[in-house]
Amino acid sequence: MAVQLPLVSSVTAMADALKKGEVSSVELTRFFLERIDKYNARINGYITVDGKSALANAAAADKEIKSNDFKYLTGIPYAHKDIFCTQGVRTSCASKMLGNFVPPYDATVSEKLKQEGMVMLGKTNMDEFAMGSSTETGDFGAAVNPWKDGYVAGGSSGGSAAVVAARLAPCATATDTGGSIRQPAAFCGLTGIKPTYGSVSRYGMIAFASSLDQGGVIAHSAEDCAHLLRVIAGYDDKDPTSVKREMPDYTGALGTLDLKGLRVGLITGLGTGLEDGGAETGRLDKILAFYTDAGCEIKEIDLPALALGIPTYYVIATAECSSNLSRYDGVRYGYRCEDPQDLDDLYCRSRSEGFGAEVKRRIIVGTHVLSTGYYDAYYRKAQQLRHKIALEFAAAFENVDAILLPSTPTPAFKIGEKADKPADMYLSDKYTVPASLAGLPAMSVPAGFEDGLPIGFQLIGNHFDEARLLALAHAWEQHGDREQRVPGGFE
Amino acid sequence: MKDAMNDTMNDRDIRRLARLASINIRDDEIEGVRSAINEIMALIDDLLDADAGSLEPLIHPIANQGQYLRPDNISEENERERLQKAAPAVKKGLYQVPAVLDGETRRK
Repeated sequence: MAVQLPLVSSVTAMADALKKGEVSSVELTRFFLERIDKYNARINGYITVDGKSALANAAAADKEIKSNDFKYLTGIPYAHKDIFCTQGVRTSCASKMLGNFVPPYDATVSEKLKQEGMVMLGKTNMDEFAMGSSTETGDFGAAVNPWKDGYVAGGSSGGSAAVVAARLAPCATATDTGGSIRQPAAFCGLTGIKPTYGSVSRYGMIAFASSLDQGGVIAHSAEDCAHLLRVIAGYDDKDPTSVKREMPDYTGALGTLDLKGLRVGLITGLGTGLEDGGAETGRLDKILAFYTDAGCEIKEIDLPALALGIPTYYVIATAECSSNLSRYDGVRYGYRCEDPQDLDDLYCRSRSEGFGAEVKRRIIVGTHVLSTGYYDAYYRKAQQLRHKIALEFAAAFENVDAILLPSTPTPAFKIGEKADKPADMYLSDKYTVPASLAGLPAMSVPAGFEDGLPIGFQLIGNHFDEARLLALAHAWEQHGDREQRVPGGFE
Repeated sequence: MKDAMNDTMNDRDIRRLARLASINIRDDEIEGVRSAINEIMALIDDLLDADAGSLEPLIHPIANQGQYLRPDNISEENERERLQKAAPAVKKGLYQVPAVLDGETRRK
């Protein structure tokens, strides 16, 4: 059977076809590798492609399927964000600092995907150390949005979103600290989920801000995301922030959740400071109409502390970044400067030459908010406000089952448009950072197109309520109005 | 509260912070770095006046999920040689760096 685009736009359809013997993993893998050859230069989505290993792993998967010893996603190809350590395969985090780093071990997520028998096609482009919202800050250049040349794919998981949208992979891993799964998914017309903090092990996932970083996935549907999440989530004693409990049955409510009477929260005026005169929230009208028609009860909720989401997030994220990135000293691994004069010169020049401008800015801001005399005013205060935001969400979830809001203030912007305006770039995260601060599961779901560019809407749920979020998203995706197109020029 | 903080940072402040973070800033970079950091701080300073009451700082977003100790068992083997393959310079199983005492005397 010839591999065709509709088939590879659904992980679940591919899994069924593999089981029935209608297609082999080698055929699927070859199909994607050929497309990568043809299209990757246009979108700059992959920064490492490992075709030889991919084909060998695909052949092994086919053997497992033939001998009836397989798991649900055995043989399914995927793209892996270059933030997850992969034993023997360069893991650069899109930084010159790790440009030559070949990890001696696998991240827990990498290990779990291998155990499932999935086939890694390559490692995807991202913002350097995941610090950015456009995949422009990395050492490998910007990832391009397949829907419109010259526009960003979003960030930091922009490469992951770009390759899935362009059908250079059927699905991808991603990570989200303040929106890095949801924003690129929205910009590229895909579904992306960041599960509850502590669901996916951070072991071997290169750290940016440890109290916020969370692994997740980007794919073409909530159903695909649910199956992938099942593979990567779970308690891991190698990650002390991993939550020790049974993970939800992510696929359990798909297609069976009764939407009648489900309470969907809309944030009043989207909370002070989040309003824009309705243009941003106006995009939600048809989504709201769908859920209302399906029997959901739309309830207004008030979350005033969200207005402080951006400053709170950027204090905590930069503080943790400055602490986490102090490990890069040019001694044990990573970039080392030429001819260091002394130890201090070795540290300073290795870091100055190895890190890009945005990473250095964040380290400096983080150093400031943690320094004597400023710690209480900034860092402690931000941790208190984070608590306040979490409490407001907890109170809201007494009255609603899910919260609906935009994923981003605008569709994708032009490459270079915000690159030199860090504050503008930070403000574009205003709808995604609140769920990150409260550790809540949140997903972006395709909502249609605006001027040729995709837009998304966001669903936030209570801790470990992913099954309900995925089922809510699935219901919308099954709705007749859904456009599932392939970007022009990638057919 | 806001008045108590420096409204904007000057080049000396930026250089002091960069020094604390072991980052060099070239003369031709300083203006750009200062202006970007001041732009970021203006955004962040919005929280200085916010009322957080007497709330405890939030450490882990999931309730009752503090740090816990793992059992005191040896779980990893010594893999020095394999791990040191990623190091820029190794000598006799040790990480090699410039002489520290010599270096100190040259430090400005």
